[in-house]
Amino acid sequence: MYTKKEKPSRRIFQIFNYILLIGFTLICVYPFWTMIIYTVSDPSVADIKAPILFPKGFTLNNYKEILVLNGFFHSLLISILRTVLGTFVTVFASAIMGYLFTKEEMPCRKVLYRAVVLTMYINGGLIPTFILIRSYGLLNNFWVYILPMTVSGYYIILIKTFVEQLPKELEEAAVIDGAGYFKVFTSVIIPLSKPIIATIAVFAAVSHWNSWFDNYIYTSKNEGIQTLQYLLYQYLNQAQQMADQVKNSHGTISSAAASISTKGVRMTITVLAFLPIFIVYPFMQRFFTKGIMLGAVKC
Amino acid sequence: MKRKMMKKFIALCCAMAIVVLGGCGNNGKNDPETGDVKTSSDTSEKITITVGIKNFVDSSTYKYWPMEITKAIEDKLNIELKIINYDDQKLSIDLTSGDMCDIMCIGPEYIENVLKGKHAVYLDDYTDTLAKNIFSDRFETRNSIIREFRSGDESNLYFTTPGELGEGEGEKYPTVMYGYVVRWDLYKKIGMPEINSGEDYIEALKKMKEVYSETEEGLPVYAMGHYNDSGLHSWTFRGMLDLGYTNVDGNCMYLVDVRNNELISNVMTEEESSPFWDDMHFYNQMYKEGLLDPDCFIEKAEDLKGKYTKGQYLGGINSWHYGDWNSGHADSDESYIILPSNMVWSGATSPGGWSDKLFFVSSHSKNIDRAIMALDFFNSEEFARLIFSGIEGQNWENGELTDDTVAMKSDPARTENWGELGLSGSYGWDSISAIGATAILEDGAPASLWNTDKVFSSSLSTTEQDMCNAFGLNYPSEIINKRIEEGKSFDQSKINSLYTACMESAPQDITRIDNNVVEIVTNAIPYLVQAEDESAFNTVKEKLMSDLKAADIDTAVQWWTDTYQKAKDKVEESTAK
Amino acid sequence: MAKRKSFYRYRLLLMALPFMVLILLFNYMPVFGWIYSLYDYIPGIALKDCDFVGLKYFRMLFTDVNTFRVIKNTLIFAGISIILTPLPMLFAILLNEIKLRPVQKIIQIFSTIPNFISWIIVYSLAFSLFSHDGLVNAVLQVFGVNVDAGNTYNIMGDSNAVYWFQSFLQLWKTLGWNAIIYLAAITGIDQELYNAAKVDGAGYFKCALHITFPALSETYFVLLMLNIGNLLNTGFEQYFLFKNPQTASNIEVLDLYVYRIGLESQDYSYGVAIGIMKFAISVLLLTLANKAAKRIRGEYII
Repeated sequence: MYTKKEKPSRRIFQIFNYILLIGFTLICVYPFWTMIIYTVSDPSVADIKAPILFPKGFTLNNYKEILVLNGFFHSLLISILRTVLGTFVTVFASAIMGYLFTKEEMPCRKVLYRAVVLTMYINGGLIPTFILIRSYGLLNNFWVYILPMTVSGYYIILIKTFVEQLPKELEEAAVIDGAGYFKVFTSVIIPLSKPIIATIAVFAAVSHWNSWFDNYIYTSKNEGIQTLQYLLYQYLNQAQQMADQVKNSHGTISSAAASISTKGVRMTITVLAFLPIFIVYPFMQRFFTKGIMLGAVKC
Repeated sequence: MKRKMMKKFIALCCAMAIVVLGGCGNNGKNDPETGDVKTSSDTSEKITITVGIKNFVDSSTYKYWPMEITKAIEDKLNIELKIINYDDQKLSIDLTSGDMCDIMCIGPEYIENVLKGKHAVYLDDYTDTLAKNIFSDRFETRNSIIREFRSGDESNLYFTTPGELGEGEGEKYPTVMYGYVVRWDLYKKIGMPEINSGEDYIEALKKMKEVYSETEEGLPVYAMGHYNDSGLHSWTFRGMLDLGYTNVDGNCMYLVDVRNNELISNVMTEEESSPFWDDMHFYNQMYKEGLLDPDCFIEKAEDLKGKYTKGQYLGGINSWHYGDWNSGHADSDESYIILPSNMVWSGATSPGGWSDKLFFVSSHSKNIDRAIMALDFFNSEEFARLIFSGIEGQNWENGELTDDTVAMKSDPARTENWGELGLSGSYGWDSISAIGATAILEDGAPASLWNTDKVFSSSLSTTEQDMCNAFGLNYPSEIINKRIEEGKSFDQSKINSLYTACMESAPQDITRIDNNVVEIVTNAIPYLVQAEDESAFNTVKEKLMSDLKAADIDTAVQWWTDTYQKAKDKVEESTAK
Repeated sequence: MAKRKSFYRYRLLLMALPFMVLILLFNYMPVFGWIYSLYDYIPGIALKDCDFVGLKYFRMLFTDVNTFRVIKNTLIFAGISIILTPLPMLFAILLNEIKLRPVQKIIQIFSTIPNFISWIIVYSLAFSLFSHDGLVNAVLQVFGVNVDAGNTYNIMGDSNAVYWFQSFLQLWKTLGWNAIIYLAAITGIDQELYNAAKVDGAGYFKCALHITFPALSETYFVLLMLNIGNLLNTGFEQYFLFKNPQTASNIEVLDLYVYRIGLESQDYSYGVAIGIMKFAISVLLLTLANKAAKRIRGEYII
């Protein structure tokens, strides 16, 4: 793959670069690998000597326990629904807001933009927020997953920064053609901002997929809209309570109850938590493997 | 434009302020002062009753739910029973909204929230109707305690507690609960020296390490480690138990002498021979002998359990963390057992019940009558027998467990059956039952039929059998009786748990000082334990004492002393009546 | 025309309106909760029935002997994390230089894994790695590095190493994930610029210095700014888990301290008061940083 023109210094750099990045990736992957092999190993063997490269014994019990949890598939569905809808709404809102804040003719632009930025630092506290959500009628309501997370200061800032760097010529050309703000947004800004939009989609999807706290505080009494993460949270909690119960009962609770390993449960959940990103991310990668060719469009 | 927006904004602000200030909108729905309560014991409609308890196994995720025991309860009351797990956050939220479980269980720190917020149903209205068990003679002491100390400024009954054990019904266990933990096979190898003090124990551990210095996997072996995720507990409760004290707080800083019920409050700053300093010298000695795990300041309970499972410890301070090792070595004599120390964990009564668990019926419940009936059932002998011993005719008959039931518990092949049965031995029902395990019921047998000598001696592990043979016992905890007869040990039967049960809970200012004290002491422990000689130890000790004084420990100590004395006086007064 | 234009621009406001309403409802309305800091709030009792204590909790914060120590710790951790902020950008630039697409893609995905490992698992992995009988000590022993059986070393119990060790763990956990933004920004660079530079005979390093780096710097400075505003919000989970008697006094950051004194003793109002103080400090820092940016770069970042 090296061309004739390749300088030696560049080649050395390339080799060094490969070693560095692959090395770092291994440091990232290996702990995850140990988790995977631990969760499929026979715990009575693995607990005495942790497996290093391959599982010791083989069992899928950890995963089976999760699959048979009450309402697993229903909550999986809710989680998917929430993630897809939530991501879409969040990305749309962030993109349009980010774009609007680049328009210098926008009235009160600075004030509004700063108001958005400050949301990242404001916290009214758990109980007042709960009281408000209740007064909005959002308790035990699916929309409480979507609406509060729709506008995020962080994503808006990222998009604004990105859009500001785009060359102004294309937008101006569209305006001359008579396009309004919305038209410019959909036909010029969105196509050019694909990389950052894909990035924010990944961020939003992951945070929607992983969040359980809103389910816990606002909708725990509506089992029909229970998310998968909340179900897993409860399951993990149960393993912990079991361990505590053994303690509180001065050890009189029999070993059958104590045999649930909190460590195993936690690692299984971690492995499962990475799955969606594994599915979604490669799909999103398409949008930022190639640089955009503005020059070509211009001609 | 701007002014209009401003106006709208202000209007919205005002609206929100009203919502926020109003807070709990469901208040005062159920006024306890109204005398005419209509009750109905109609159970023809099947409804759901939810019970909310802090840090409990939630029924929605529990693998075996509903167990046979659950079904028996549900059939009896014609309900569907759900147990909901709570934590502080969730509890605060539900107290704010009023949308809580039909029956709730809280700690004493929430009494003010519940009573001032009018969230609890006034139980006295149901004395002769739905709550006959709650008001039965058995609970006379408990109820008067709750009226006196757990009802704010009133003398009404809103709460019930679990775990009541009257006179002569003291706790009893098949094995020794606390004391000197030893690996039985190694203890035998060193000739089973008698252990009567911390020094004896360190001596024995030293010898055990000589015969077993490495695990089969080649890992180093230590005498013991510690869990650092439960405040000071791991470092302070050995000395407390050994010297004969019981704690009134979670960190073992305020202790009561079990022999005379006197509070010694200044364990860290004054008492030279206090359990705390005894512990520090003990662990310091252990460190000097090279017996203490060098990770002992870092480990958490889970790490400790991991090392026990790998066989890296010779002894320990309690039985909570080595469960996996013992179940894995059930067929050999390599299990851990506990030898009794000076004070043995046995014989304690609790006429006031467990004061840290207060059950009440929510005034926001849609089925108050049915919830009271359920709570009343939790206060019944029938319930106690059911959850401790199982279903009559199936699990027990004529005051004795069936052989099949006894065999099921210890048979690893029947783990599933045991889980599906769901006795308090596998699910935490004992925190719900108002009557404790060793209480004697009307038929003359204990609530838990497991608590008989016959059952105790019938299901012993190999190690336990071996131990009994070595000491001439029928079951392991019999050694306690022997030692008490010999005058070497004393049990907890002299504790008057009413004194602690009747203490007010600490106000925030005191809790803040206590939390700070815990932090200061925790940070000083590594320096005390790792002090190379006496003078180094004393330097750290003096610094710690002056730090504690600076953190205003005296105010907290004074508060605890006064509060305990106040509770004691009041109890004396009311029992004199 | 000019008039029409000035009316037309209000359309921008109109488009932003629904989202600004959401922000008002979900981010600014809860600010009313700040009045809880003036009361001795007890959950379950309506606020109007709770005692009004005025500024008691704010005063408490300033008279607390621990405040100085925990703020010092927080600032050290924040300082280190600000020093490390260029690394995700550097990682993205280096990753962009991997020309084998499949390798690049795999590194991109797998370097984000640590972001999904919760701190409690990071803790237990670290414990098995660094404990006195763990892997690191075993390896050191094999190589005979100054370690004999009685003299093993556990970095988790070393209070002097705590700042860098924790920052390192954080870096490991977030590097790959945080690099994503920069990868997107790199993709946003007009390829024409590179082609033009190459025609001019610019080598690889020149391209990086004069095209890639300036293009990323905008994103970098915005994120840096947000970080500065976040100085006191270090989060508490990591520090809570890695705290032990030996490291406690150095590892206790403000958020952890708030958790310890607030949640464990149910000081709801105190917690709110600290939240307000933190907000005020964030606004102050952001304003200062913004002013500094104006001085140095000639324009505000926010």
